[in-house]
Amino acid sequence: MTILFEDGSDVKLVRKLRTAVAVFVARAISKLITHFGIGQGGTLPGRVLLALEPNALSVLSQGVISVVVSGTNGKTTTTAMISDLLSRYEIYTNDTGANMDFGVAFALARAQRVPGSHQLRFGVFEVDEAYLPAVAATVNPKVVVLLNLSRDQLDRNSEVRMIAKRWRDLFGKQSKLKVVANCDDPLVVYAAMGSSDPIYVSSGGGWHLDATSCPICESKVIFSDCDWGCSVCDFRRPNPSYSLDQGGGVVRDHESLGELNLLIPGRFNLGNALLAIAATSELARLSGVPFNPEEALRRLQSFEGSGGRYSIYSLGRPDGVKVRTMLAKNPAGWNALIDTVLEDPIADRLVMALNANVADGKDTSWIWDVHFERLSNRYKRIVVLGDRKFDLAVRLGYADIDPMPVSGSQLDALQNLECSPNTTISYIGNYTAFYDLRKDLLR
Amino acid sequence: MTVSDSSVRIVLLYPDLLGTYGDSGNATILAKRVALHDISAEVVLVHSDETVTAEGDIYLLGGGEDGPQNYARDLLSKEPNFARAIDKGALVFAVCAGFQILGDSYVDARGEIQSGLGVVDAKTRRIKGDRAVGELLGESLLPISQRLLSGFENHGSGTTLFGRSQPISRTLRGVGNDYDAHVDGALQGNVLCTYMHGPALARNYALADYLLEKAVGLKPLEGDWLTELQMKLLSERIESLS
Repeated sequence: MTILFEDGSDVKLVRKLRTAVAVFVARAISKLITHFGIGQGGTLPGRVLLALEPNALSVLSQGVISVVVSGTNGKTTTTAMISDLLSRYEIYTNDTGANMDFGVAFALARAQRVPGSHQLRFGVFEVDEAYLPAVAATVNPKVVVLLNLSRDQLDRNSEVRMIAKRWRDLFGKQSKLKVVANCDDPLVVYAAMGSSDPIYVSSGGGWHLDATSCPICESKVIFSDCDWGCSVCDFRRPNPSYSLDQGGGVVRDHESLGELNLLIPGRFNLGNALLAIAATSELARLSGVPFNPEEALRRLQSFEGSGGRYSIYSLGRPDGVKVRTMLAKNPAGWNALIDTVLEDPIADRLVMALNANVADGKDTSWIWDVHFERLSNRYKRIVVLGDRKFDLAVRLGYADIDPMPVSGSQLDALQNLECSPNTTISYIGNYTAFYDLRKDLLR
Repeated sequence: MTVSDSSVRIVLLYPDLLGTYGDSGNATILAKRVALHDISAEVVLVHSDETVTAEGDIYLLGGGEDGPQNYARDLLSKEPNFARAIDKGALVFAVCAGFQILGDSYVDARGEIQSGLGVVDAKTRRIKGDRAVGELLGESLLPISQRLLSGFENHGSGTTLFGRSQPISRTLRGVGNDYDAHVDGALQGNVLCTYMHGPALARNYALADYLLEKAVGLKPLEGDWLTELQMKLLSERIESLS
């Protein structure tokens, strides 16, 4: 077993020893889970780790320079982008999607430290919105990235304003934290204002329904093309340090850094990339390592997505038809992917899948907040899959689209779907539907 | 806001305050079902900084969080056109938080008793048990072709009916108005209320048609493809509970 504590940290010896035992057990459980193919091995081992040593997260994060990414949509992709930009260093990241405290703890526990290595160690973690205050208080990250806040899983989450308030309080208490925040989302700005000197990034925001009233004075917030402001008090969009110009060039404080081109689709991913660049630049500055923006832009050009989001998979069909898998969990995410599909000239077949397991939220009412109507000019028929395909079917029917519900395995449905040869099917699924399909595609 | 005279006017009240749970879908569904009768329908959105028209045929209220709920109550209580429309016999369909503010009184997040609009004989207090979250299935008490009504409930307050209000269903699964009430919703004159999200009219096509018949005299639709699809959704939801 690796010697975990060689950095002269001030953690008590007993805690260190208990943590070492907990890490050993958690790793063993993870190996068993992976060996028997019953999961990605992040959740249960992480829970066991924290059950055996509740301080494990604090102990393991000693000496790790961390950046934490939170928000409703884009966490996994932005986290993966930052990891990519830091790939020359030793990195700990929870890239299996386990983004609560135990997921972060196990991401730190599973990595085997290179013995004798004195390289800087970076932690790049995505953290669930509700868990951000607790994780940030324990891990002490140098940088926190705030993406956006919108309604998600209303059967178990409280309103998003409450989350914005808790974030704001956190930044008030942890004054050393550097906040990198999306200035196009009023709730994110409200939270970021709790910190003394946030870095604002214009990473876009198309979803305004949860920020129609001012979080400070409750008056109406007025949105125009790329600006917003309260109609009564002086709460308004701050000027960003980072933004994209019309030609897709990255601008930092009026200085052009070069062009941003991505392999993965979606305007929101350009915003995620911009946040990743700003966050990595800040992290580098604060930890005294070099950061070259041109090189970062070049690196992101070949970024292929994370966890199967936007990946293109072969379906093993003789006609060469493939599928591009996309994940959307809530109305803001679905609306953004509908934009993406409409911007894609070759997306001629669209398949959608909806489940309502605990991880998805049991209430599917939110699909009526998605503007499927915008698809009706281009798609007369859309195949619908998943446990709640009839909910989607009724929704699409009322949007003047002919839904085709298909039962059975999603992979079978995709393999048997009538398509022109050598085309790519666009698939949008919510959380468990997406992972069900991905599991079959990787088999 | 333009309102023409020939079409059925569906007024969606304060979607920016009471639009958290997808209930605006009820407006989409009613408008489309009117259109299937070859009659034009118009959805009029009234945001919290706009005036309510008195010329609506149907007024819709949805669910929302506590703060916006109080604000919506404040706005509606100062809105003579809403009271005028109800007096003229316009139909009101209210869900969850919307249901609560139409009653005599309700409690907000701080536990304070708030006065309601007094349109429906109902009062709402903290629910007598855990927050009601989950599938809600009831046996319809309305004169409609659908025997079972199905939706998704999500509320921490419970409602007691009195006086002239009658429930719309007898609860078979889930909670409904409250743990000891064993019923859901309220019907009083032309005002119909429920705790069902989903939205309510996505699964309950016959309830949608009942509202349209009461409001503007349209007969229930039969054999159209959307109703067929909703029947499949409804039976899939009912089977999932068995």
